[in-house]
This record gives sequence, structure tokens and C-alpha cells, in this order.
Amino acid sequence: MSNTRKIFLALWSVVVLASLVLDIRTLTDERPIETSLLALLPPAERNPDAEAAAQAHADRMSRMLVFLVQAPDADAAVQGAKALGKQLRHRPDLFARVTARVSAQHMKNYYDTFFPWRWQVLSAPHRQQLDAGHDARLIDDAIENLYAPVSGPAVGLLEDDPLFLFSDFVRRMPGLSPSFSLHNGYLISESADTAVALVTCETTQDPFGVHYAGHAVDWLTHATAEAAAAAQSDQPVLWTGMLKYARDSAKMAQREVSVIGTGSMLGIVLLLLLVYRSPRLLVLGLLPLGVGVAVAFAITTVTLGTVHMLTLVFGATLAGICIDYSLHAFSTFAYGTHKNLAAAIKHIFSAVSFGMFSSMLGFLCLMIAPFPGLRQMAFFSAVGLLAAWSTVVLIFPLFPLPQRTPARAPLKAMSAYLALAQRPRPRWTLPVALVLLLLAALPGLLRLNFNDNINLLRNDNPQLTAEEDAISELLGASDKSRFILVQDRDAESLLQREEQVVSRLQGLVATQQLGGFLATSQVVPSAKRQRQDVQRLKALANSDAAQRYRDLLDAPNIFATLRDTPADKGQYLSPPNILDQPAYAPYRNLWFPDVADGVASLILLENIRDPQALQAAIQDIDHAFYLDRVQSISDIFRNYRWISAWLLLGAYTLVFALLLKRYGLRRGLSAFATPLLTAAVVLAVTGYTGLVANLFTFMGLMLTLGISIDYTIFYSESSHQGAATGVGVLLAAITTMLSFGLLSLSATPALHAFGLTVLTGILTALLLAPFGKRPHSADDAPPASPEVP
Amino acid sequence: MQPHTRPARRLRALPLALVLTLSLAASAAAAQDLYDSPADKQPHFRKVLARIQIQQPTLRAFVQHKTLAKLNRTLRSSGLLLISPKGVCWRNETPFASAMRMTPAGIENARPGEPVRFDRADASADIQKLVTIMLALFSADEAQLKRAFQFYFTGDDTRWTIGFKPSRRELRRLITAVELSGTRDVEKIVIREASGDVSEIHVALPPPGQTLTLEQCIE
Repeated sequence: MSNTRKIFLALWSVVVLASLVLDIRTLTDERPIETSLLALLPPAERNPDAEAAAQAHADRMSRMLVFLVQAPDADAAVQGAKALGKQLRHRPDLFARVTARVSAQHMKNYYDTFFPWRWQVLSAPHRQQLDAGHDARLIDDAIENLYAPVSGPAVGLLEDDPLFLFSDFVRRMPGLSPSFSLHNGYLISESADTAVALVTCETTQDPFGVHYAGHAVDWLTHATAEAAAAAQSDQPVLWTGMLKYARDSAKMAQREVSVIGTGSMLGIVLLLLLVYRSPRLLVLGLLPLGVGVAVAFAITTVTLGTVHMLTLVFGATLAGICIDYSLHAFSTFAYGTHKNLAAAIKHIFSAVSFGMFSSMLGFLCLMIAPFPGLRQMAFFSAVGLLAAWSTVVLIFPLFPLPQRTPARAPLKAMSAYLALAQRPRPRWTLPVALVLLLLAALPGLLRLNFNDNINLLRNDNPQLTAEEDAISELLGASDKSRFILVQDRDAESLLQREEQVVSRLQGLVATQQLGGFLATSQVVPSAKRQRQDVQRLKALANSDAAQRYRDLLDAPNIFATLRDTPADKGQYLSPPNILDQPAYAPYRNLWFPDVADGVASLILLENIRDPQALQAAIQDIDHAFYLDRVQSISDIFRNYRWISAWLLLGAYTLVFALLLKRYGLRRGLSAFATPLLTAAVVLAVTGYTGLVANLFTFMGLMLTLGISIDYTIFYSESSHQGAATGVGVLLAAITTMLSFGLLSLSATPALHAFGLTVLTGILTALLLAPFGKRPHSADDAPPASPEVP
Repeated sequence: MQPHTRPARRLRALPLALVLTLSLAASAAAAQDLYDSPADKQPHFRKVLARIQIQQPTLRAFVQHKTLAKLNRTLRSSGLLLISPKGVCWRNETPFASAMRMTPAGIENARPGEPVRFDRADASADIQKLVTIMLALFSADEAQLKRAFQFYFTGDDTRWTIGFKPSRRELRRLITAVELSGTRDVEKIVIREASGDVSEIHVALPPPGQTLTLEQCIE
């Protein structure tokens, strides 16, 4: 053994051992794999700060859990909510900020937080009256309220708040669901024959933590069942939150990984046993596969921080490729004339190396795209292939396996197929066949239907979606992916800018182009506006209408507190001062105190009926951005589809150049025909069958290029051992199709499309590759092949 | 007046309408021991409750004296009250003109020269709850009323007082009690608020020839 080989062996051992240690450490972590879809997506290129704020908002909201306890009537719903709240509070390790009953203390917090600012913080209708110049109507409203048979508790504050500004403000605070009202301290929504109680809480840990999510969801299943029983209801407690989706995704991923991984593994084991009839070869054959996945998982985790569940699902298919090198080596050894496996490896070294190099080239092309998901999958696969290849060329020669008698049927079949493929034919046959095939593919190519929607990455569970829809219907839900982000250097400038945006949005609401919105400045106006409002109210206090009010009440000093407002002392209410107050909780997540050396706020939107009008309405306001996460990611998908199409073209060109250099013009053209036709057939089949084409189709094509070029090279490099190579390729193709065929069973549309693309591609490449092999001489023509008994 | 959606005065309108609903058509005197006499033990209660049901539009004149506990002032107002199976109209005439129409669709408030403000019932659980109670009252649905109040009764079917005490915490923060009293019909309504304010509303036949329909209420 040469020194160089010893060094490589030592290096291999260190890497594999270190990878195993790292894998064990990672798998025992709380969050061994990433399940958040957002982690796969690239940041928006236009405004990273805006994206960061939107992401921060999504992270905050991801901890929120909402429960609706269904019951026959309000009293029963209260009992259910009480039971659920009690249970949730008994698990402070799992849940925090449990809100079931609205306490008197919570109600008082509204008074403590906002009453001192009543002259400066007005309800929307009151401000509209002031803005419209109908100041006196505030007085008329107050008088009418006093004359009403029931005036409400606000009259108790008459001397401090003669216009009932505070009670009106609190009553009309935006963002609170109008479907719910208090029933014995609990928020209840009643309909004809049912009632539901609202309970909320937050997760204490990252909902994407696999162990935490599993434990919390299992516990909630039990707790909600008990709450339903307490509510005397046969209807389940509805609940939603990222926790539920995270748990569902993790379960689905685990299921898919085990189905695809186990299916692929079983197929490989059976094939190896049936064909080579050697348990030792079987064990050895699985070694590159295990090493490939273990090293890929470890190095991806170390390099990129974490491995996403989709990468793992994608990576499970790596098994189908990693085994190719083993199969090629074993076939060459078993069906050839080599005295041992080392000699066979030596014989195929250039073929598997060139094949590995071309496959890696395909994966590395994917890494050019700044798309975290794509990069991770490509990186994982490239590392896995390299590790599997190094295992074959470094470890296999160390095992002096004795010759066995392998199954002859595959050899006979491949000999017959090779004989057919390499039957002497006129020179024009190949170009004409190529043109005909391309012509047949053309209508399919023209019928390609592209769809770049981000939802291709989601595997919607209809039950969860239906439950969330039912909850949203009652609670009202802001758009989850579309926001407006406003930025500025400080809180006051930001609030002023936001007020500009809000006035435009009010116009859109009036014209029904927008259903509604929630903005910080609706609750806490800018200091400038607070000052203006106080000035206008002071003018109102000096008006005839105010005098009429004083006379009516016989209270000359009824507006006394207006003479000494906080604004008169230069004090204004500001979001940073009340962020921690319970009364401000619904708006807390809209404020971002540290974004790009300034502050930012999000405006949540409801029922966006005309997105273009929305964009147009705010486009002239600096530092106000309309963010549409779904659309922007879908746009990025479309852009990267084009980029990956160009990359694919580049990869094909590169491969063509390599083939020309190695084999010359005629053999190079022959070898190149297989990957080219494979791509045409895959796209044509996609078009003919009406499947959608997208970025993942091109990813599949990239992989198909890598694999199909492998097959071509294996044949081209096989010299006189064509049939043995054919068996290797056949087995490799079967195992790869098995794994990708199983991938097409994935519930995630992107993986499904990817699996189908590669499945079609491999089948095509398997059938076409032998046609690309040109006999070196009459001696290695298949009919005279010496290895066929 | 143009219909105009603006959720102004929602909560003020809510208890107002509640009281109007409770009033139906009334007069009488409150008994001192009213709240010691649960209605379900009184033989005349259901008979009186059935009698004060409104089967057809009924127009009454009202005079209200409201005592503000905080300022020790009494405010007097008067106007017309229309109760029909389709809804209620409270039309204030003195000392200022205003009108409120309450139907299952919601509550409309109007003042001369100003747009009508409409609080839709389907947009608010508070309004929806009020509408539900109203419909229950018009149909004398005791089961529905019992979800919000405890009933008390004194007297007999010739001179009686019915007391309503809120059974829910939220309503108790607004109203401590409502008392209807009368001989044949309801003649007086007393509303005691949690703030200490008390409204006494005397109800009588309207001036001869006076007409009002629900449709005309806020015109």
C-alpha cells in the first residue's frame, strides 16, 4: 500500500469517525432537524431589513396558541375554558401567558395605561369628528349619553373625562375580535345553539423543537379532551398554532424518511442478495451508503448550522446514487475476469471517478443559486456522493473477497439489450433518431405548464387547515404573508410616517379595496398628533357648545383637567413606554425597536381585495414597504427556475465539452445524446401528462444529467466488459428508481414533482445509454462477449 | 339622513335599547320587598309577563327623569317610544331631538343634520347579544331572558312590579336592577346603574292623532 493511499485512508477514517460522533450529538439535540419552511427560503433581495422585521414578527407569532372550547351554551363554555386554563397553568414548563379569564386586574390595566393620556389618545370616530371639523358633535354625543336611560360606568369619571374620551377609546381599540364578548369574565362567542370560549397561551420553547413539540402536542391532546368533557360537549376543542403545524410536519417528514429510506434500503438489500448471492458483498455494498449519509449529515450540520427535514427527505434518495458505485464495482468483479475486488476497482476507477465528478458538477451548479434550501440539498448530496465514492475506492480494495457465482439472468438480459442497441447501423441512424425523438417531444415541451407557487413546498394537512379556517372565521385573521413595513430613525418619526400610511389605508377601506388593518398609530398616535388633538380639544372647551354643556351640568369647571394635560408638560404617550403593559399586548408584536439603526413597525392587513391599489397607495411614501412573502418567494422561485434552466444549459455544455475532450467528436456526440434526449423526454412527458413544471423539475433534471452521464460513461469506459457494466447500470437504475419512485409518494408537491422527474429521467437514461456506447473494435462487440456463458 | 356605517355610541346604544326593550309598555310602583320575592314563586308573574307582550306596534309618550349621582343633578327629557314586533324606536324630542331605531339588523342613531350611524348586529357580539335579548323579550322567551337576568315580582295582576337583576358579571357592572311597574300595562320603568345613576321613565298614551312607524323613526 502506497504512502499516499495510507494518508487518504487515515483521513477517511478520521472524517467518518468525527462524522459519527457529530451525528450522535446532533440527533440527541432538542432540535436535530429544521422543520420551518421559512428556513429554506431566500431573503427578499429588495429590503433585507423589512424581511428581518417580518421574520421577527413571524417568530413571535409562532409561539402563540389559540384554543376555542365548543359547548352547548355560554355557561358550559366557561366551564370548559376554566378547565383548560387550569390545566395549561399547571404546566409552566410547556406553556406561558395563559389567558382564559379576563381578570379585574387586566381591566384595570387599561385604566392605568391609557387614562392619564385620555386627552391625547382618541378613538378613531372621535378623531374623525375632529378631523372633519365637527368638534361640537363630541359635546352632543356626551350630552346624549348623559340623557340615555343607561349611560354606563364612564359617567363615574365625568369630572375627569367629561367627553367620555377614555371609555370610547378603550371600547374601540382595534384588533379585538368583535365576535367575542365577556361572559362571567370569559371571552365567549355565542350563536343560536352553540357557544365557544377563547383561551390563548404561548409555548415556552421553540415550537419547532422536535421533542418539545411532540411532548406538548401529546399533552394538549389529553388536556383538550378533558376541557371538552368539562364543557359537556361532544365537539372537540379547536386549537391552532405553529406548534401544531411543526409537529405535523415533523411527523410527516419522519414517516416519509422512514418509508423512502426503508423502501430504498430493502430494495437494495434484496437486489444485492438476489444478484450477487453474497451476504459479505451485501454488507460491503451498504457501507458507502451509510458513510455517505452519515458524513453528509455531519458536514452539512457543521457547515450550514442545521439540516432541514426536506433535505433529509431528499437526502434519503442519496442512497440510490451512493449504491451505484458499489454496484458497478461488484458487477465488474462478479461478472468479469478480475481476480479480486481491488483489481475490479482499479479497472473502473476512472469511470466511477468521472461519473462522481459529473454528478457533483450537477449538484454544485445548484449551489450557485443563493437559495438556502437548494444549496443545502445540493451540498448534502455532493458531500454524500464524495464520501460514498471515497469509501468505494479506498475501502473496497482492502477486502479480498473470493469469487462467487452471481445470478446469470441479469447478464443475459443486458447482453441481449446491448446486442440490440449496438447492432451495426448506418451512420445516419443516430442523428435521424435524435431528430425524430426531439420532434416527438416538441409538442410536449410546448405544453409545459409552469407553476412557481411557494405552496409547492407545503404539505397541507386538510384537517389542520380546516381547523384553522374555523378559528379564523370567528376570530378574524390578518393576512399571514402580506404586511406593510414602515421604517424611520426614531419612534416619533416612525409614527408620523405610519399615520401617513394609515390615512391612505383608510381610503382603501372606504372603497372596500381593503377589509381592514391594524397599526400601532391607531392606538398610540405620534406626539405631533397628540399635541394637535389637545389643542383642538382646548379650542372646543372654549366654544359655545362647551358652555351649553357646562350650563346643563351646572359644572363650570367640567373641563378643568384639560388645562393641565401631559402634553402641556411636553409628555406624550409612546409605544416603547407601554410595550410591556397587558393592555398593549395585542399591538406589542407590531413594534421593532432595533431595525437597521432605527425603528420599524408592521401594519397587519385584512382581506386585501386589490393588492395593486394597495401598493400604488403607499408607493410615494418613503420607507414604507408592502411585503408579500408568498408573492416575493414565488417570484424568486420563478427567477431561480430561469437561473437553474441556464445553469442546466451551462452544465450540459460543460459535460459536452468534457465528453468531446475525452472521447473525440463521434464518440463524444454519441455519449452526449443520452443525457440530451433524457432531458427532452422528461420535459415532454411533464408537458404531455399535464404536470406542472417548476424549479424542482429543473433540479430533477440536474440530477438526471448527473446520473445519465454516469451511465453513459460507465458504458463508454467499460471497453470489452459491456454486459457486466450493463448489469451494474441496470441495478443502479433500479435502486435509484426505487428511491426516487418512493420520493414521488411524498406529500410535499415539490418533492413529488422532483421524484417523478428523476424517475422518468432514469428510466429514459437506462434505456438510451447503451445506444451511446460505440464498440471499440470487433472484439468487444456484445454477441462475442466472452463473459456470457 | 343618509345611512352611514360608523360604530359610534355602540355601548351607549346597547343598554339604552335593553332598557327600551324591557319597558315594553308600562306603569306601576315598585314594592320595597321586591328583591325578596323571586318571580317563580309568584302566581301572577307569568300572567303579567304574558300580558305585557307586544303583539302589534304600540306607540307611547315617555318622560324620563335621570339623576346623576356624581353631580347630584336630575336631567329631564321626553319623546315618543314605539315598540313593534320588528323593533323599537326611541325618539327624543326635548331638550334635543334624536332618534334610535333598533332591529335585528342592528342599531341606528340619528340627529338632525347628521348622517345616520349604524351599528350592525352581525359585526359585534355586543349588538348581537342585545338583539337576542330583545327578540326573547318580544316573544316572552323566558328561557332566553333567564340567561341574562333573575326575575322578581311583587303585587298581583292589577298592581305589580317586576324586577330584573343581571345574573352575569358584565351586565352587573352596568346595571344593578331594572324595575317595571304598572296596573294593566307598564307605566314606569326604573333603571338603577352601577354608577349610582337612576333613571325613572314614565310611560303614557301619546297625544291624540300622534303616529309613528318604525320606518319613520329616523327619517
